[in-house]
Amino acid sequence: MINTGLSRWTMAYFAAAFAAFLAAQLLMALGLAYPAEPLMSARTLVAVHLVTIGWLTLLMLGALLQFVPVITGSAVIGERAGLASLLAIGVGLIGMIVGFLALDGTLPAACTGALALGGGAVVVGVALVAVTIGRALVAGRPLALPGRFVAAGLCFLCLTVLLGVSFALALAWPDYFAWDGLVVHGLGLHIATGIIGWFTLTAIGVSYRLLSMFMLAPEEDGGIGRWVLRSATAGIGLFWAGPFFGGTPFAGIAASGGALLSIIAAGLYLADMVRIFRQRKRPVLELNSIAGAAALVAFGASVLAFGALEFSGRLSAFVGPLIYLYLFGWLSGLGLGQLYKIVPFLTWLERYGPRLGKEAVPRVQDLVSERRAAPWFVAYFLAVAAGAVAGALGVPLVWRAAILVHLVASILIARELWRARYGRPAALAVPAPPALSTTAFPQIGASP
Amino acid sequence: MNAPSTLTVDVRPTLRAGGEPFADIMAAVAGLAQGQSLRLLATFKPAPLFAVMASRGFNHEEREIGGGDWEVLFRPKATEGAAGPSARPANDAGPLDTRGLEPPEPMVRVLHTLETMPPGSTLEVYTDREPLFLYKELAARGHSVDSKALGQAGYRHLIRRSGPAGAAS
Repeated sequence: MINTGLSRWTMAYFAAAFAAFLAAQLLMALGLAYPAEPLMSARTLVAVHLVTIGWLTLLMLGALLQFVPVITGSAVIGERAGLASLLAIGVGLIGMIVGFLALDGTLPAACTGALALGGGAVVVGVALVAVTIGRALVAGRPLALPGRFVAAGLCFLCLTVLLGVSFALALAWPDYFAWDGLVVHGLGLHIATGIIGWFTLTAIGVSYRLLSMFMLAPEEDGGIGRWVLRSATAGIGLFWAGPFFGGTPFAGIAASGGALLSIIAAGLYLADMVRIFRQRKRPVLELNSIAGAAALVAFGASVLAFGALEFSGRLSAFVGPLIYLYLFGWLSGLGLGQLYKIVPFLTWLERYGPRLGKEAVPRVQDLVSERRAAPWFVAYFLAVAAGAVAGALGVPLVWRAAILVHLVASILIARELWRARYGRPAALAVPAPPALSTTAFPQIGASP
Repeated sequence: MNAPSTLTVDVRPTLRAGGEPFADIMAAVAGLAQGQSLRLLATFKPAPLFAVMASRGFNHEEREIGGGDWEVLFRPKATEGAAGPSARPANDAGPLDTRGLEPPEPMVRVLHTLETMPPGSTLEVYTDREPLFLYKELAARGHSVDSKALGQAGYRHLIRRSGPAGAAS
C-alpha cells in the first residue's frame, strides 16, 4: 500500500519564504527599492529576487514537495534533497543579493562574483528539487490535469533560472560572458518564462485541485484546463521563437501571438474558475477560498490591463505597477490564502491524525480563527489594489504607504499561521465534548 | 410508552459561519431518548447525513422551507431492541459513504468508526478521492485496506480492522 505521509521540509520552506516576503515588502516600503528606486536598479533587483526566488519559488517548491505525492499517489519525496535544495537556494539568494549590492557600489566591487556564485547555487538547488519532484511526476503517469501544469511549471522554472544565471555571469564577469543577444532579448524571456511559465502555470495547477477540493466543487474534468495549458505553453514558445527571427516581421508577430495566446489561456482559466465557484456544494466560502477569489480578481485585472497596454503600445509606461499587481495581488494573494488552509491542515494531520478515533481531538477549523484573520486578508488585498492604482497614477508616496499597509497585514497573517502551527486550540481547553467521543459516531451498517 | 417531544437542532448559524455541524448533530443524536425524533434545520439538503442516520435506525422526511433552507425530520424506525442499534456488536460494517465531505472529514469518520469495531471486522467505505493520508494512518495502525477506483464515482475501500482483541470500545 502506498504510504503517503507528510513532507518533512515543507514547513521550513514556508517559513523561509515568508521571511523573504516580509523583507521584500520592507525594502519597498522604506524606499530602498522600487517604487522609490528605478525599476532596473540593483536595489530593486534585490527586492524582486526576494519576492520571486525567496518568497514565491520557495513557497511553491515547499507546497509541491507535499502536493505532488498526493496528486500522483507516490511515497514521500525529498526527505534529504528537500533540505539540501532549500539551503542551496537560500544561500544562493543571499549570494545574489550581495552581488547586486556590489554592482551599484553599496558593497565593494570585489563582491560582484557573489552574484554568479549565488545564481549557480540557486540553479543547483532548483535542479535538485526539480529532479526530486520530476521523478515523482514521471512515476505517477498518466498525470491528471494539476500534475501536467506542475510538470510544465517545473520545466519553465529550470529555463528561467538557467537564463538568470546567464545574466549573473554576464553582469559579474562581463569580460568573459558578454552575450549581446542575451542582453537584448534575455530579460523579457526571463520575466515571461518565470512569471507565466513557472509561477502562473504552477499556481493554476495547484488551484484546480485545492479550490475544488475545499469548496466541494466537482473535480476538474480537464476539458478547458488542457487548453489553458496548451495555449499558455504555446504562447511562451512563441516568445522564445521571436528572437531567433530578429529583424524579420515574424519577430513582431511572435511577440504579439505569444501575448494573445497567454491572454486566451488566462481567459479560459478564469472561466473555468467561475464554473468551479458556481458548482461548489459548500454554500459558505472559507477564508482561503475568499482570498483565492480575490487573487483571481487581481489576476483578471492584471490580464485585462496587460492586454489593453500591450496592444495599445503603452506597456512600458505601466510595466512596474502591472508586475506589482500580478506578483502581490494574484500570486502572493493566492499563496497567502492557500497557506491559511494548508498550514492548519498539515499541522492537524501531523498532530492529531494518529489520535483520531482514540481520543477527543480538535477539528482543523479549531486551529484557526477566521474572524480574527479575515480583517488582515481584507487589508492586504485592499492595500495591494490601492498600491496598484497609486502606481498607475504615478503617486509613489501613496504607493509606498499602501505597501506598508500590506506589509503589516502580512505580518499579522504570519502571526495567525504561527498560532495555527504552535498555538493551543481552544477546543482542548475544555473537557472532551461528547460529539468527539467514539460513541457519538454511528455504527455504520449495523442495521438489521 | 409515550414518544418524547421532537428535539430541534438548528445548524444554520454554524453553516453560515462556515462551520462543520456534523459533530453537533451526532452529539444531539447520541442524546436522544428512546423513540425521540430529531428535527434538523440546515442551509442545504444534508443528503450525506441520510445514510448515516438510516444506519442508526432513523427514517427521514425532508422539505425545503424557503430561502434555500431545509427541514429534515428524522424519526426512529419501528421499535428497535431496548439497547438500540449502536449497542449491537458490529462485524462487517458499511457502507460508509464519505463522498461529498470536505477533507479531512472522511478520514475522521473512517477512523472513528473503525475504533468502534471489533478486530477482524471489515468496513466498506466510499471516498471521492484516493485517501492517501488515511492510508498512512491505516498502515500505522496495522489495518489492511483493499481499494478500487470507480471512475467518476470515486473509490471503494474494504478496510479490515486489526489490533489486539478487546481493543474495540
